[in-house]
Parts: sequence; structure tokens; C-alpha cells
Amino acid sequence: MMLVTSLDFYGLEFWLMVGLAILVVGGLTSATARSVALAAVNLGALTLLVHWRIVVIFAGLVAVWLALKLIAHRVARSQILIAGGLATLGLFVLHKAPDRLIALNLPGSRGFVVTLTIVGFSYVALRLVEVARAVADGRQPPSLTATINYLVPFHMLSAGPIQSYDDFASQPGVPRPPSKAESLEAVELIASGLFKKYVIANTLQALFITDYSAGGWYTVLEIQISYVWLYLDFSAYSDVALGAGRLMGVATPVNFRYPYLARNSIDYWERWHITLSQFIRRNVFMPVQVALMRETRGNYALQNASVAFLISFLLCGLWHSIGPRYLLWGALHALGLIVCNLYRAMLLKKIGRKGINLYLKNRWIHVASVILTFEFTALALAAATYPFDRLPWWTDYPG
Amino acid sequence: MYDPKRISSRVLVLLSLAGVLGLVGVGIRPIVGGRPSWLPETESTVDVPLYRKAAGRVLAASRELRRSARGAERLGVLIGGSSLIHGVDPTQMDTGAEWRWLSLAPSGAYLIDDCALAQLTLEGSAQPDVLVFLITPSHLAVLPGIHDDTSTFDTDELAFHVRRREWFKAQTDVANLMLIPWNVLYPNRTRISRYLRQMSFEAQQDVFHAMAFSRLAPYEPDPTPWAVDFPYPGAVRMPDGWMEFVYHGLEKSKLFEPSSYPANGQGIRSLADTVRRARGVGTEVILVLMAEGSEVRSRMPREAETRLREAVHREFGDSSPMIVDLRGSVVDDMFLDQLHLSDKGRNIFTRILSDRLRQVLFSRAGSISDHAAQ
Repeated sequence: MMLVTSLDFYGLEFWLMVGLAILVVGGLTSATARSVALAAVNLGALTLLVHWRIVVIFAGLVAVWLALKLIAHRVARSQILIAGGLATLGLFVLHKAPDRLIALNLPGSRGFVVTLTIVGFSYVALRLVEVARAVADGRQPPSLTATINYLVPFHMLSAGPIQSYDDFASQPGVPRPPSKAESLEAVELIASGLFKKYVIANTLQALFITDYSAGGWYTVLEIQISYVWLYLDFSAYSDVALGAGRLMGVATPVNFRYPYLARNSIDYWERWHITLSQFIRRNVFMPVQVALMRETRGNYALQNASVAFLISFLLCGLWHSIGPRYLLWGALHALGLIVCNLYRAMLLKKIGRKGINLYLKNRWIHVASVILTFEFTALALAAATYPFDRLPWWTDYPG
Repeated sequence: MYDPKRISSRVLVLLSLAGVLGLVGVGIRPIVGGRPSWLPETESTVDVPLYRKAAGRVLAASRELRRSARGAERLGVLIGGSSLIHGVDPTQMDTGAEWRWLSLAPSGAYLIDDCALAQLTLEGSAQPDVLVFLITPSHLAVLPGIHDDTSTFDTDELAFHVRRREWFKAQTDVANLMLIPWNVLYPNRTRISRYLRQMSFEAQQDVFHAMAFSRLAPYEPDPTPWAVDFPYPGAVRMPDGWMEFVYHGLEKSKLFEPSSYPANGQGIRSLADTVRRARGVGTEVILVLMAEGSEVRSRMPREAETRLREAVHREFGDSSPMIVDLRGSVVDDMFLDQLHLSDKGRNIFTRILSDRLRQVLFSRAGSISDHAAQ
């Protein structure tokens, strides 16, 4: 089912809103006025897409803002966190599995699902977790306009990045205006993003991607091409968001750093969808690992890290899509990280730190590692996207 | 509170960029002369997603027929515009147990579109025994601006959408105001963009052909190639004001004007080419004039049909493809809007079409020249 409607940089609306933000927000010298104007731009952009449903979104944002205030003042803190967590999870499940809600044929259900898609609720949910956790840990709750600007930044709605709340809160209220060189760099980022998406990625897709229909030996080639295509397409969105953010004076984090040069799974997750892996590290991996270390009184560090990797990446898989495919994808990545971690520990034990340094400097090992990591990641992606249901033995399998 | 100097560097950079792009654009226009010479005159209006869907349908049907005992089964392909989707349920076609019917319909009403899809069916591994074009004479019209950018500002469309409270469409209508300068400066931009997409679609087939795959290998096989869902199940008539809007569109396209039907238009040339190619691989072609409401029929100029018959006879003489006229075969009550049948009308027309095709297919060789001479 296609329900995708987003403020894509394909549309004129996106560029008009970027232009408006530069002209209006960019010139303001008061932090409050700037925050208010930016919130107006973000809500305005959403209004172009969801029309009257902006009222519902705004009410939701006000509710979040009030809840954060109450959490900060320790009023019914646990209850709010539990209720908020359940509500976010519920909305997330509806967003990821909309067919069930639509099948109920309730009045407005389709519009509701579309609205969740338009606001990019996957990303909003992660930002909600971030801000709730930060405020619960004692950080100042955001103002209403900051809540809007953090949760629904229009240039990051389509495909992130996922800004950390601390990163958002630490940016100056009135940032230094960019120099000509910085503005040119931002335009260059946008141009390279558009080139990546509309020239390279689209050509690759048009000529070589068949959704595995071609079959035969081409499947092996298509697994590689699909992975390259995904990087080009996805990182293009991030490049445009980054460039637009810089022009508007809105801090926007870097999301990709040459992931194909990764030499192992740990390195890969420091290069691919960086803001997601940092989110996972902050909000899942570290808390789980710390809890396990406490539980085991500082023993079994490797085993604890392995469990934390597994839990983190199974959840990461479910965040991408609720179902067995991405659960498998998450499990494969967890396996890659666990093996990598164990291998590093084994090498350290066997050849020592000096030996590891020599090992890392070996060009042949480096090339082989990069190829292996590329293939592993491409295969993991294929496990999540290959149309297994088209295979005769799959459909003929009883039950 | 507001300091314009803060945005000066960004505005300067963006204006420079816009200036460069504008100069490049303005520079390109005189070079390409408005219409690039490499743009063919016979491009189809079918967009690539529809082509891919149709290709998937042909591929799945071919595979299914290949798996079954193909020698015993015969494949008929129905090609037409949106009236085909409304008008024929291919699974209910009763032309004998050995016949399977595959329906392909572009979202246009233009003979070049029909021919483009017909070419696709000839790429499948199971060659059809017969191609049936379900058209109206209006499919031959030379439609002014059919390839031009459709995002033009039209106050009537805006009023129509406002009356129907289709706010999203109304908003798009207003936004189209901004596209007017682009449309004036680059009247072929939609055409070029569509053509580039079509080129990449064909290039993909060439790439796979070069790798010794079938040309249709890249496309996802349709899991239910034989079925065509009815778009408005249970609907009896389109809402008030709909026909007014449809006629507005038809008048705007000058479909009711005799001058829109030249003796040797691109449509008829494409048809002739397709018939020759089909016959070259042993596939016969039948032209069926699709059922239409009485008002549309009465407003359609006589030249439309005359030109079709003349052109077919001129191109093929005694071996002309058969023309089966079913325009008046269904009463007005069975139409949703004079052009598209209701689901009840669809059942009736499917039966009528089956009966006629059965007669034709059983005595095909003899009847072709008879009908062409009519």
C-alpha cells in the first residue's frame, strides 16, 4: 500500500519553505523571535501537507510540551513517562502497520495513517524518546516552540537525520551567520545530494534494479547494486537536509561518512546512518550494557556486550519495519557486531596491541575486510528486501 | 530584531546560483529551438510506471501460458484506454475454453499509447494470437498540447475542485500559477522528462537483452495478470458536475472538432506499424469501436470514424484489420459518465464483446475483408 506523501525535496513546497526560513528566520537577531519564526515555518510546512490535521498535530505537540514540563517538575513523572511511552509505541505500531487500522474502517483512520506518514513518525518517535530521557535526566524542558522545532523540523522529516536532544539544545539561540564560503558549501551539499538522487541513484534504479524479478545469476549482481543504490538515495536525502539546515542556520547532524570504506561492522555503524547508531548507543546499547555489568558485578564484559548488541539491533530492525524480515536484518547486524567484537578481543589476547596495530596497517587485510564488510551488509539488506514470497517453495510451503 | 546583513551571504549565493541556472536555461532554449530535434514525434503519453505494470502483466501471463500446455491455449490481448478497464472483465470473456484474455489499459485515450502497449505484448515469450484494440474514433485525434506540461493554471478546474471541496487539488491548481513562466519558457519540459523516462525504460530492456535475459525480465510479474479490478464497484453514476468537467476537458482537447482528425495522423501511422509488426509474428489485429453514451456519440464529428475507416483501408486494402463497431451496443443507463461503464454495464458489454469476438474468431479469415469493406 502506498501512502507516501512527504515534504520531499522533489516538491516546490520544500524549496519555498527553505527560502522562507532563510529570509525570515535567518535575519532575526533575537533567540525567542527566531525560535517562534522557525516553529511557524515548521508548522507552515506541515500545514501544506496535512491541511486541517495540523490542528491535531499541534495539539499533540502541546501535549508533549506540557508532559515534558510535568516530568521536569516531577509531577506524576513515572505515570507520564509510562503513558507517553505506551502512546508513542502505539502510534509507532500504527504507523508501521497501517493496514490493520485501515482495515477496521474507522472514520478518519486513513487520514490518521497518512498524517503519521507525513510527519515521518518513525523519526519523531525517536526524538520523543530522546527529549523525554533528557528531561527525565534533569535537563531543562524545551519551550513550546523548541519542542516543535526539535520534533518536527520540516527539512528532516523525510529521512532524518535524528538529531540528539543535547545537540539540539546546545546550539546557540542566534547562530553566527554563515560566510559566503559556508553558504556555497551548503549549496554544494544540496547540489551533490540532488545529483546523487536524481542522476546516479535514479539511473541505477531505472536500469538495473528489478526488485529481484530478473532472477538467475543477476540476483547476485542486484544484491550489490541495490545496496549501492540505497546508499546513494538515502545519503542524498541527508545531504540535502544538511545543506538546507546550514543555509537556514539550523544545526543538522552528518548522517553518512563513506560507509563502503568500513572495514568491519563496528566501523560500518560509525559511518552508516550515524545518527541512528548514535541514538541506539545512547538509548539502548549503553543502558543495557551498564545494567548487565551491574547485574554481573563487572564480569563477563564480552558476553554482556554481545547481549546488548543483540537487543539493540533487534530493536533497530523492528524500528525499520515490524516483521520477521527486518528482525532477521537486525539479528544479522547484531551477529556481525558480536563476531567483530569477539574477534577483536581474540586478536588482542593473541597478538597484543602492537600486533593489532600491524594487523590494521596491513593493506591486503584492509582490502579484504572492506570487501567482506560490504558483502555482509549487502546480504543482510537482501535478507530484508528479497521477495521470498515469490519463490515457489515459499508459497507452496503448507501453512 | 531583524538584520538583513545576516542573510546577505546566503541570498547572494542563491541568487548567483539562480542566475547561472537561468542563463544556462535561457542559453539552451535558442539552441534546442523550443523542441529538441531528438524528441520523436510519436512518443506515447503512457508513463513508465504503467508500462512496468503492463510489462509485469505480459510477463506473468507469458510464464503461466508457457507452464501450461501452450499448444492448446490461445492468448488474446485487449488494449485500450480507461474505458477498457470499465468496460471489459477479461476473466468473464466467453470465447471458448481455449482462449485466455489479457487486458492492458493505459490511462490515456490516444492511439499511440495503445500501440506502445501492443509493442510490449509482442516482447513476451508467449505471442498473442490476437490483439484487440478497444478504441473510439477519438483515439485518432491529434490532441494539441497532449505532451505539454499539464500543470497549467485553469480557473475552471480550480472552480470545479473548490465546488467539490477537493482542497488538495484546488491548492495544486493555485500552485500551478507559479509554473506559468516555466511553461512559457520550456513548453517541452514534461515531454522531455517523460521521454527520458521512457528511454530509460527501453534502455533497461536493452541491458537485459544484452545480458541474454528476456526483455521483460526486469519487471515484477503481476500475481493476478488475468484479472482487472473495477475502479468504482457499486457506483451507478458519477457525481453531479462530473460530466460538465469531462466535456470541458474534451472541448479543451478539441475532440469534437473535425479538424482534429487529419487523414494521416500520427495515431494511424502508429497503428499501421503495429499491425504490420503483429502480423509479422503471426498475431492478428481486430479494432473494436468501444461502447459510448449517446450524447458523446452525437457530438463526435463524423470525420473521426470516416478517417479511421479510410486510413485502415488505405494502409491495408483488402487485408485490413477487422473493425467491429460496438459504440451503440449499451444503453446510456449503464454508463457512469457517457464514457465509462458501470459494473453492471461492464458485465453486459463483456458478454456482447465475447459474442462478437467468438463469431469473428471462429470465421476469422473470411470475415476480415468483409468487415473492412463495410
